[in-house]
Parts: sequence; structure tokens; C-alpha cells
Amino acid sequence: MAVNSDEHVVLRVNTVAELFNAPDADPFAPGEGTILGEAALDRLVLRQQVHPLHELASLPLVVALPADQITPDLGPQLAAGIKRYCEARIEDNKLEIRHSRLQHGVGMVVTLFVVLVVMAVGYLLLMTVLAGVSDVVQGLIVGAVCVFTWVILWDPLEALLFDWVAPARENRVLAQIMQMRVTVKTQG
Amino acid sequence: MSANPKPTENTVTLALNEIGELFSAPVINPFSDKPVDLRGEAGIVYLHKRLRLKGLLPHPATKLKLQLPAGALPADSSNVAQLAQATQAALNRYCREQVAQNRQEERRERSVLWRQLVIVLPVCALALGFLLALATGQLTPGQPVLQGVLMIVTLFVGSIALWDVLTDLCFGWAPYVIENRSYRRLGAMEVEIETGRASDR
Repeated sequence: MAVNSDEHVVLRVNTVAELFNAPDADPFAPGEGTILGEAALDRLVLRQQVHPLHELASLPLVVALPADQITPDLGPQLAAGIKRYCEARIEDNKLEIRHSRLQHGVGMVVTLFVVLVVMAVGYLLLMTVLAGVSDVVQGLIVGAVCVFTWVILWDPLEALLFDWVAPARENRVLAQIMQMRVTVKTQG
Repeated sequence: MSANPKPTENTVTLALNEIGELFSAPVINPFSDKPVDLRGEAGIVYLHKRLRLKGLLPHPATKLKLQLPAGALPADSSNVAQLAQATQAALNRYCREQVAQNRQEERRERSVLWRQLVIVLPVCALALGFLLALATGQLTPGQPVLQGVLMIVTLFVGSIALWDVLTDLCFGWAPYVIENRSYRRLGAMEVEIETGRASDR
């Protein structure tokens, strides 16, 4: 990708397409993006999430291209293109969050219903058929119902609480990238 | 769902550069405003993601309107109608194959889970036996605290051993049902083709 500093962010690519599309992996080539075959913007998004630059949105985004790739109106076109690309990814991430919440919300309702039924059945058994058994057996039954409740609720609850975090973090970075001032320069 | 004029209530509109982009992902082109170009994903993937969400709620979309550049369409209107029919048949085939593949994958996962259950059940049986021995005071006579701790630990061990297998057996089918439902709806949609803006390629 190249130099990131507190003054600017530089994306060094061979073609404009390599900003958005992963090139073929080529560890023989010197470029950072070609070693693992990663799109430059994807690397920037990942890097910003791991080592965030302070106020990324206010930094200029410099796209360094070979001289033969640069046209007179490339700068504004590229800025608009990056904005559209980020908007599309943000929309897709929001869709993913909505889908996860809806799916696991329904799952949560179903599992809560099952838990209530199991608890009701357990309570009825302890009050009637198993009323005369020892405290230890009653305790084991209660413990088993507790563990069952814990197991069955874990996945939907975990998904509802945490699944939205990764796409939301990515959206935050994409929103910052959208606000960056894009300039194009020739690779030195 | 489209970057084009407002669709009617039961129509979904999707702009493409060529008909092949319905099933094959184009390269990302942010200089275009077509959804498939911006995302570098096939039209059917784009549609499926949105229908999958709406599949959990009632939705009325029954028509798919594909907008292609004039250069990508046959000159004769009857050929355009034939292309629409062929695309509809192709869409139906794709979705049926996808559903069949999902079912196969689900069956494969289920068979793996049953095998895992065979491994896990003896572990749970041992844990249950240990638990009963603890509960009857055979292993820790006169040590109620130790008895309580060992019982809780044994309960945890048994439940953790069963956890993944039982969860996947009980709930692993749900994502496939959602996916297959949206693919069936997508495959049943009536396809129309009309002229859209020029290609952005």
C-alpha cells in the first residue's frame, strides 16, 4: 500500500482497478498488494481497523499510479467512484446486520418459548410426579434445566449481541474513507 | 433495490451491462452506478441477499425486470421476448440447482453431526455416571463443598461436550430453510427485459 502518516494516506497501485479488485497473488512482485493479492482499499479498511489513523476522514488519500494510467479527469472521477463503492459496501453491511438481527431475533423467540416450556414441564414434574424424590435428584434436575437453558440461548443471544460489530466497524471506516480528499499522483 | 426509476410494487428492477452478469460476477467498476458493478457480484447474488431478508417477512415481488443496454439486446422485439423466456428458464434452473446443492450440504453436515454425537454420547454417559456417583455421596463422603464443585464441573463438561452438536442438530437447518425459500421465490419470478442505459464498460 505504501506510506501512511498523519499527513496523508498513499495507495500505490499499478492500475485503478487494483484499488477495488484483488490482483493475482504474486510474491515475486514488489508491490504490497500483489504479494497476497489484495485490493488496496480492502487493505486500507483492515489496517484502519487494526492500527487506526487519527481522524482519517480529514487526511488526503493519494493514489499513486504509473504515468500511463493517469488521465486529466481521473482525480474527480476516482473520488466519485470511491464514494459510490463505499456507499455500496456500507449498504451491503447494513443489510447483513439487518438479516442477522432478524434471523437470530426469530431464533431467540423460538428458543425462549422452548425454554419456558421446558421450565414449566420441569416445575410440574417436581411438584407432582417427582415431589417425593431426594433433594439431590431435584437439584440435579434443576441444574440440568439451567444448563439446557444456558446452552440453547447461547447462540442466538451471542449473535444478537455481537454479530453486528464487525460490519459496523467496517462501515465506520468506509464512511471515513468516503470523506477523504482523493488526489492522483505519478508513482515516483 | 435498483438505481433506476421507481419500480412498481411487485417488480424488482436490476440494471446490467450484459445478460451474463445475472449469473457471473463482473469486475468491480466504481465508475458505474449499477449495483453489480459497484459490488463486483453477480445479479443473482445481489437479488438473493435482498430477497433473503425479505423472505423472513411477507413480500409481494413476483417480477424481475432486467435493464440491458441497447447494444446488448437483440434488434428484433420477438428475440427480446425469447431472451426473456430463456433467462427465466435459466434463472429457474439456477435456483433449483442451488436449492438441491443446499439440501446436499445440509445432509452432509447432518451426517457429520450424527457421527460427532456418537463420539460425544459416551463422554456424556461417563459424565452422567460420575455425576450420579457424586450425587449419592459415594466419591466425596462428608465433603459437601467438594461434592458441589465437582458436580458443577461435571455438568459443564457434559454440556460443553454436547453443545456444538446439539445446537447444530437443533438449529443448523434454519439458515438453509431461509436460503432455499428465497431461492425458490427468485426462481419463480417472471422475467422481463427492457432497454436501459448504455454499458459502463
